[in-house]
Amino acid sequence: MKEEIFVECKGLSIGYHERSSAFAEVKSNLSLRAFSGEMVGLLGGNGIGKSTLLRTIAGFQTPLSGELLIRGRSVSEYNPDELAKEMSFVSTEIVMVANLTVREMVGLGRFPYTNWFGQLGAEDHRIIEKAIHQVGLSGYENRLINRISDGERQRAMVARALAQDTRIIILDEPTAFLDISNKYEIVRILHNLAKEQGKCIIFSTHELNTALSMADRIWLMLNDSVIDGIPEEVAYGGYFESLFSNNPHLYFDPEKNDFRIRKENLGTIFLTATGNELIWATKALERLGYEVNSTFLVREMIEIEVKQLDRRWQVGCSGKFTVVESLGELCREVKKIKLQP
Amino acid sequence: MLYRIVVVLLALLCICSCRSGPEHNNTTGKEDHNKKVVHAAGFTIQRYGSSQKLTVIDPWQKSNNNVFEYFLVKTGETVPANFAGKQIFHVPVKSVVCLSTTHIGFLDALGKLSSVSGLSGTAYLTNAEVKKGVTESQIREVGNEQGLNYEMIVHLKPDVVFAYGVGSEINVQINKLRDLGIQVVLVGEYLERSPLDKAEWIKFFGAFYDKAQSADSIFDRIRFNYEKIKSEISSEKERPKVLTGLPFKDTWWIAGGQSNLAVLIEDAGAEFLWKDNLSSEAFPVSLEEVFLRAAKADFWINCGSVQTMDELNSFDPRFSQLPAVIHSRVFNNNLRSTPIGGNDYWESGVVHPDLILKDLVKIFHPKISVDKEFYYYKKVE
Amino acid sequence: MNMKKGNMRRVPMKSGVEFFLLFLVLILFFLFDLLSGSVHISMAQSFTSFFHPTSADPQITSIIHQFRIPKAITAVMAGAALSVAGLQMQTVFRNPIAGPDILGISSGASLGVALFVLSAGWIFKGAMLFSTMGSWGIVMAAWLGAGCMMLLVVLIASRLRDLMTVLILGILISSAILSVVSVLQYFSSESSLKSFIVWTMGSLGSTTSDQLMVLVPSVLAGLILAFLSAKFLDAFLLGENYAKSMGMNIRLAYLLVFASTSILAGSITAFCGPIGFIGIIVPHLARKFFRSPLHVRLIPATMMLGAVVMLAGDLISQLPGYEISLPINSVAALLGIPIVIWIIFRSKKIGAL
Repeated sequence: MKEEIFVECKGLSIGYHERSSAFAEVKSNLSLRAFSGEMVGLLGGNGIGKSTLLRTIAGFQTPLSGELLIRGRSVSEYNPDELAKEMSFVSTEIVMVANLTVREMVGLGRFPYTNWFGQLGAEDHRIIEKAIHQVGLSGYENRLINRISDGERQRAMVARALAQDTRIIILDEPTAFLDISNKYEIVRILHNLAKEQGKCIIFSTHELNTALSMADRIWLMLNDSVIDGIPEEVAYGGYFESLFSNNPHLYFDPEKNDFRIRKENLGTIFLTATGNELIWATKALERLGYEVNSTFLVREMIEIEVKQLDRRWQVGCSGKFTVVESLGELCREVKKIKLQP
Repeated sequence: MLYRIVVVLLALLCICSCRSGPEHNNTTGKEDHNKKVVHAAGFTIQRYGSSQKLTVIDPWQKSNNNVFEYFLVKTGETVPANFAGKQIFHVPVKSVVCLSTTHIGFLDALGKLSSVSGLSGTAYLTNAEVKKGVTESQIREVGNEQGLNYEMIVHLKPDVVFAYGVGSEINVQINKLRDLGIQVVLVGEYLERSPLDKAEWIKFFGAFYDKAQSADSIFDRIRFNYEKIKSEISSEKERPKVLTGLPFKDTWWIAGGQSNLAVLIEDAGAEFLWKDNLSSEAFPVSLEEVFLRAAKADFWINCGSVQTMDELNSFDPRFSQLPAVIHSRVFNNNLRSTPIGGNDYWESGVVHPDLILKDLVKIFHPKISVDKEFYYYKKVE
Repeated sequence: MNMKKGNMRRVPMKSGVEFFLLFLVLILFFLFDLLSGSVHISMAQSFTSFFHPTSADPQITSIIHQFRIPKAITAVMAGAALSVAGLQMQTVFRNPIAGPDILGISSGASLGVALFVLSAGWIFKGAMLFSTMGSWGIVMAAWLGAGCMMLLVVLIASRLRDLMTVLILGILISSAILSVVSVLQYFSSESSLKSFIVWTMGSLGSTTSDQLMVLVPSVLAGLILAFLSAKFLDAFLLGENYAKSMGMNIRLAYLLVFASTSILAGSITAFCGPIGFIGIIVPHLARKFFRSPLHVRLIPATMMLGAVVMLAGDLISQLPGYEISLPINSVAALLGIPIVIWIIFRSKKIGAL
C-alpha cells in the first residue's frame, strides 16, 4: 500500500470565532502530518487545545488561518457529504437514545450513503454487520444502547464510525471512561484498522503508556508548539519532560513509558530474593520510598537488609533481625525501622 | 338526571358566558296609592307629594336582591323629612353623562338631548344631533368599563351619570365616582323581558327631568301602537317560522327563547324556532342542530351586522342552502347603521318597539302591509 | 417487569402488522366520528345515506356530507399535522415536552387573528372588513401571522449558531406577542372579544369543503417535507456534532424541519384555531407503542396515531347523548395534561428522548 498523507496541517491556526471579527486563538502555526496506515496519538495536558485541534480537523470548527488538507485537498473544497465519506468522528459524549438498538445506531453511520429516507440496502447491512463484528460486539445487535455498559457503548460508537466507511477516523478521548480491558480493546481494534485496512486513525488520550506503546506517531501538544514524530523520537528528544515541566513532583520514566511521582529517597535497602518475589518486593519497597539494590553489597551504605527465606522474609537493621510472614508485614516492619532514629 | 345537569354546567363554564336570566323581584306588595303603576320589573316610582323615590331592582345579571333607591326633589323645594340622609337628586337635571348609547334614545324622545355633556361610545353614534354635539366638543367621550375616564367626568361636573352594570363589579365604579362627588344612577332597561317594559323606562328618565306627564303620554302612545299592531296580527292563522343569529366557527349563537327578540317575533305573528329555550340571552347551538331545525325556517333575521348576501354566505357557505336564503327571505336590523358599526336599532329602537314590531309584521306578513316602509330593517340581498 | 432480561433486547418488529392494525383503528374511529354529532343519526340512517342516497332523508345526508365528513377529515388532518410537527420539534430540540408551537407559530397566528377580529373597529375602520371576508378572512389573518413568525424564526436561526438561543428567543417572542394580544382584547368590544375567545378554543367543525381544498394539500405538503427530513431527524438523535460528522447539511436540515413544522402547524392553526397538547403527547405514544426512535417508522406512526387521538378527542367533545359539545381545546387539555405529567415522570427514569 502506497503511503499517502491523509491529513496535513500547514501553518494552521486554530481557535474560536467570537462575535464578528474577534477570535480567540488557541494554537497557531501548526504543521502536522498523518499518513495512511498510521495510528496517531495526540497527547498533551488538559486545556492545551487537543479537542480544538481534532474538532478543527473533523470540520466542526473552521481554522482561523493556514491550510488544512484532507487527502491532498483543502478542507474548504469539500462539501459536507464528501467530507463525511472521508472522515468520521467519535467523541467522548455519552449518547443516550431510548429504544435504539446497537444495529440501528451503527446503521446511522451509513448516513452519507443512504437515500432521503435513510433506507439501508443489502450492502449497507453487510457493512454494518462487519463493523459490529470488528469491534467485538457480535451478538449485541438487538441490544438497546442505553442498556449496555459504557465500554460496549463506546465500541458501538466506534462501529458506527466504521460503518461510515472512511479512510480517516478521528477520536476524541475514546477511552476516557473505560476500564483497562476495554481501553486496550479499543486501541487494539484501532491499531488493527490502521495496519490491516490502511486507515488513518487520530485519537487523543491521556494514557501515555498506551499511546507510546501502540501508536505509530505521536503529536505532542505543548504550550507553544506541537511535536510530530514517532514515539521514541519524541521521547529521545526529551519533549515528554517538558510536558509537565511545571510540576516538580513528576518525572518521565522512559522504561515505564509513563510519568511517575517523585519520591523522596528514604535510604537504600539491600534485597536478596529471586523470581516473582524479587519483582514484587522491589516494587513494594520502592513504593515506600527506598532505593532497592539487589546486585552488589556495599556494607557501609546499607541500612536495611531484607532476605527471602522460602515463603517468609527476614528484615534486618544494624544487626537486629526479624522474621515476617508476608510482604504486608515486611512493609510494616520496614516502616517501623524508619521510625527509629 | 344529575349527571346531565353537571355536564350542562361544565359546558357552560367552558363556553364563554352563558348568562342566566335576571332574578325577577316581585316587589308588588300591598297596593300603595303613592306608587305609580309600572309594568316593568326593573324599577318602581313612588310619589311623596311633588318628590319621588325611584327604586331600581337587580340592575345586572345574576343580581339577587340588590336594590338602589334614588330620591328626587324638585329644585328649590324642601327635602321631605323621610328623604333625610338619602341620595338626593335635584330635578330637573341640567347636565348628564350617559354610559350607554341606548340612553340617548330615551333622552331624544323626551327632547332633552341638550342635557348630555358626556357619552360612552361616541364612535358608534347614529343620532345626528348628538353626533354634531360630539364634533363640536359639546359632548365628550368618557370611555367605558375599565377605561372609564374619571377625570373627564369630574371635569364635566354632571348632575347625574346614567350607568348600567353587567355584574356586581359596577359597584366599584359607583363608589369611585361617589368619592369624586358624582352621583350615579343605575339603569337596568336592557334586562327587561319584553320590549314594552324596556320602553317603559322612559318614565324613569322622565322623572329626572321633571317630565313625568310627558313620559307617561309618550309611553302610552307607544303601548297603544304596539298593542294595536299585535292584536291585528294575532288573528292571522299563518305563523311563519323564524331563525336568528349567525354561525361562527363551530357554534351558532341563537337568541334566547325568553329574550326581547323572541317576544317581538311572537308578537309579530310568527314562530321563533327556539321558543322553548329558557334563556333570555343568546345561547350556543351546534351547527348541525341549526342546519336541521332551520330547514323549516321561512325567515332569517338579525344576522349580526351582515349587509349583503355574499357576506352572509362567507361565514359558512353550507347555510346558503337554507330555504330562507334560497328564497331570499333574509332580513337584518341594520338599515340605519353607520359604516363603523353603530346601529340606530340599539339607540332609538328602545323607545320605538312599535316601529320594530311594524317592521317585523311587514317582514313576516308581506301581504298585509304592503304600503309601509321599513324603518329599522332591510332585506339582505 | 423492567428487571426481566427480555427487556434488554428488542424483538425485531413485525412493523407491517402494527401499521396495518393502526390503520384499521383509524378507519374505525373515522366511522365512529361520522356517527357522532349533536343531531342524533343512527347507524342505519348513515348507512342508507351513504349507499342509497336517493332513498335517505336529504337532511340527514346533507348533515353527513356537509358537516360530519368535513369534520372528520379535518380531525384526521389536524391530528396528523400537529403530531408530526411536534415530533420534529421534540427531536430537533431534544426536549420531550416541546410541541409544534414552541417556535411561536400559534402565537403569531393568534396575533394575526386578534388584529383582524379585535381591532376591526378602529384599525380597519369597520367591522365591515371582518364581515366581508367572513371565515376566509380569519384564515388569511392567521396564516399571515404564522408565516411572519416563521420567517422571524428562520431569520434568527440563520444568524445564531446556538439552537438553545433560538428556542429561548422563540419563547420570549411568543410571550411578547401574547401580551400584545391581551392589550387588544382589553380595548375591544364585547362581541369581538367573544368571537376571538371562541376562536382560541379551537374548532374542527367549521371547515367547509372549499376550505378543505386548501387545508388538505398544505398538510400533505408539510407531511412530505417531514418525510424528506426523516434521515436528518435520525441524525439529530445523536446530537448536532455527530450529525455534522456524518455529512448532514445542518442549515438545510433546520430549514426543512422548520418549514415543515411551520406549514403543518400554521395551516391547522389558521383553519382550526390553536389546538394544544396533541402535538406533545402523540409522539410519545408513538415511541412507546412502536418502540423505535428511527423516524422513517416514527413519522407515519405518529401521523396515524395523531389522527386517531384527534378523532377520539372529537368523539369525546361531542358528548354522545347530549346536545351540547365541548370545545376541542378543553378536551385536548383534559386528556393531555395527565399524559404530559406521565411523560415527565417517565423521562426522568430513562433520561433521554
